[in-house]
Amino acid sequence: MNTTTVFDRTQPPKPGSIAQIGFPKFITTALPSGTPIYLVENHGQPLVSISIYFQGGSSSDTISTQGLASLSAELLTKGTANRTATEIAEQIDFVGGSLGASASWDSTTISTAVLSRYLTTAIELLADVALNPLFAQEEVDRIRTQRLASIKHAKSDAGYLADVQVSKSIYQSHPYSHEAAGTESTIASFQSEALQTHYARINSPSNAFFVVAGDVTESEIVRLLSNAFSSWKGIAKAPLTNEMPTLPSKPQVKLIGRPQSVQSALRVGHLAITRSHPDYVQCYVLNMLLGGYFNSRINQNLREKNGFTYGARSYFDARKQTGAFIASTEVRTEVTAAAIREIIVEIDRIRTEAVSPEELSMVKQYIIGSFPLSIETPQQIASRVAAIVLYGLGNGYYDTFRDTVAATTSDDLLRAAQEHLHPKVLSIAVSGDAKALESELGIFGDLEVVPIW
Amino acid sequence: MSTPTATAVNGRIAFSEYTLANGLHVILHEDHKAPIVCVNIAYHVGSKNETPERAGFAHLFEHLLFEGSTNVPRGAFDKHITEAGGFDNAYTTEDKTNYYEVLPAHQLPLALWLESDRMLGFVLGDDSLRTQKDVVKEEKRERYDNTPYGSLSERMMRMAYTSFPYRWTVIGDMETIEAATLADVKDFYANYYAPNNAVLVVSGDFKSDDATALIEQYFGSIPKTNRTIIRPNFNDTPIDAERREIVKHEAVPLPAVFYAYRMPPEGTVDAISLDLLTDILSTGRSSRLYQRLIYNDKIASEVSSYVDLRECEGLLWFYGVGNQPEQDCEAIEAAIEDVIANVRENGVSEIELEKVKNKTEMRLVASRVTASGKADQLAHAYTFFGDTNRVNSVIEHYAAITTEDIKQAAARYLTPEKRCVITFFPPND
Repeated sequence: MNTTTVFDRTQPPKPGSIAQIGFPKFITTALPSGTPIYLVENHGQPLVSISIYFQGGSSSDTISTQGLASLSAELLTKGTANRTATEIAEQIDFVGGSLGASASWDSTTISTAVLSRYLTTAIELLADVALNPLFAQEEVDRIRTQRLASIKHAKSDAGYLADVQVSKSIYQSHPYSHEAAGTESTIASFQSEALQTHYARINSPSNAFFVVAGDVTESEIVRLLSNAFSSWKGIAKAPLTNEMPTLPSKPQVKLIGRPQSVQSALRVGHLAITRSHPDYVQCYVLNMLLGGYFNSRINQNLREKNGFTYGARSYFDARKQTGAFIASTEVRTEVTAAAIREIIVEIDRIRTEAVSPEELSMVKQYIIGSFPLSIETPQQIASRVAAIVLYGLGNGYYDTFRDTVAATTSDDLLRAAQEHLHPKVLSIAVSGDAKALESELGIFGDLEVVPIW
Repeated sequence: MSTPTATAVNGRIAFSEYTLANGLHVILHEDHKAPIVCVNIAYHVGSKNETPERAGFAHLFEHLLFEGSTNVPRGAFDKHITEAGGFDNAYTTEDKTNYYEVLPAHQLPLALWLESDRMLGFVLGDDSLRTQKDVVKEEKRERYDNTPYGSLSERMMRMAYTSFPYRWTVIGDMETIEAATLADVKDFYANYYAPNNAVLVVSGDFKSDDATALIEQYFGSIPKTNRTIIRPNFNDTPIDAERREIVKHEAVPLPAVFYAYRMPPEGTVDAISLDLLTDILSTGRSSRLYQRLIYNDKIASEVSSYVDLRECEGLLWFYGVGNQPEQDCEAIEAAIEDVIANVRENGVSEIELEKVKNKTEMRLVASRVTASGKADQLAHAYTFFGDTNRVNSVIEHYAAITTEDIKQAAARYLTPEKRCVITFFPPND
């Protein structure tokens, strides 16, 4: 570090010398059955985390089985052929660890994390819930009651209502438009057998992989997992093919009347790209500048210039089968239309004016410079490894990521903006005070006031 | 590669510390596992230093401190950090205000420059004050006013404290946020934002000798304050008869009951005992409250207990949320009280205590994986205990607690006449 320069408080200091670090090496190995194991070995803290990923998640639900993948996953830890739900809870709680299962859109995960001295206990429980779940009707009924309450709770949240509504508009009949946790009517209908059948569709050593991070060696983890999963069988069923949505021909506005709202939850978006799209990194850079970080145009405009909101952001929600671009914020009722207008102004501007060299340099420096911050812990590295596998990004993806960012030009961003942002056909969803807003939002597209479902 | 002295086993944090001539306390923790550095400054000021007419001011002030200093114009603070590949943030509690930056290691001088510049001289215009009042009001709407049960903390603080400045929430009220003036801002800055009311922590991949020289350069010349820093003494009236409020007109989805009991300050044997007790009662699906209310009686969709530890008397919370909109809260209240009474009378088992001590260790280790997690805990220990090494001794304090300590603490603090109760019911329309 250079401390010999003359001290001048009026200027920012020169940085010290930069440490070049690559994306950490991870080990690829496998169970005897062939199931891959990706290991991020790191002995900095006495912790180990293990996740089993299955391909297939909530995107295999149908309109009348919304919530199936999610509920099926939740039941995995609620009783096995060897342990009751309470025994599983007692055993993992006793060692201070965690054990849980959940479905996301395109995968289902069972995860555990423990102090490394309790690793064998955690793996024994992990294997038991993965291999021998019971889906006992009594436990299904119990979880159903809780799930129905949590859906009621979610639907009282302004942000949840706007999120679901904008997804419905964008994804149309595709399962990505669903409520992944289920609706009150679908959750009321599920019986044990349906949950079991769903798990059987994805549970197979050839449809899964492990991601392990932390204080364990390769030989030890292979030995422990091989023993615990020696009886693993099952043949996964191919997922159903979904009909792909298309961009609409004109903009639309859905206004959800929510009682006693003093703010509007606002979502503005459209169909966009998959995670494995070749333009993904350029879209990532583009979005960072537009609405991805505190210094982004949308946040600076809505928060720092106008004081409309505590925060405004945008993102490419790039999933496996397709994806969306969404801008999202919460603003006081009176400035709802003004906030929508400013978001559209920013989307238009980034499609028509080239980004200045200063702005481009700031966003690139931020993404490249902050990359080490995003891989500080073994668990952060592991989640990136999982993304590589789930989306088929290629093992070298994060080795070249920063080079791809560095090579991005202002022309690349203009082209990406014109190709992947569609301000003429936006789907807008607002949940808030419908009475106050009804007369103001029609200027943005075909307005429909929708009740809370 | 990690240095053996950096992070040793089981979450211990090795550090060195010293105090500058102007009173700024400095703590350094080297950890070379990742090329990252965190700079963290805690000022010993929070919402309990406010007057009731300016409730929310300490937090508004936190927003304002990003708006410009002598050599860093409005908007430049975040730009500098962003261009350096870092991020910054801040938070305010009842008792402290904490600012931090996380950066690639070679950018340490930048963070020290920015933090020292705003400790040395703070520049604020009317525009900034106007905008940040609006931003903070939107923060209040988003987090509280537009959220189910969002009025809870405001109601509970008013009920649980009669005179002490924990009586209002950190976010404050719309009127008191609006009331802030530039003169208030100047006065608050002069009173509390001085090196002798702060601790600076640098954590991560740097060499202590280099950091020491930089810190002297940037912070050494900042004058200390000679004003007396006011530390409110806790003198609120004890609660000796149940206090209760029923809320029926707010848009909540399910009935819910919230209990709060006053509890002793952070770090006391009773506070540690009660912290462990709340884990026994509600952490994990094997916990007593989950087993009783959700698993067996099936009367709640959610139940929890936790401690809100503070520098003065904080609160121990319980809550239960029903699973049917039409339900009353009587069964939930009776079950929670039954679980508490059982601890008062029969205590807890050795197995349960061992379980939550394991959980505490796991949580401690997991919270010390990152440079910023460690910096925050070092700053906290020094600010409230004047003993930085408490980050390491804390695990022994928890290990020393016995089942008898827990039973006694429950009997002392968790009796029905000491509780404050708020129930929420969905409007019946």
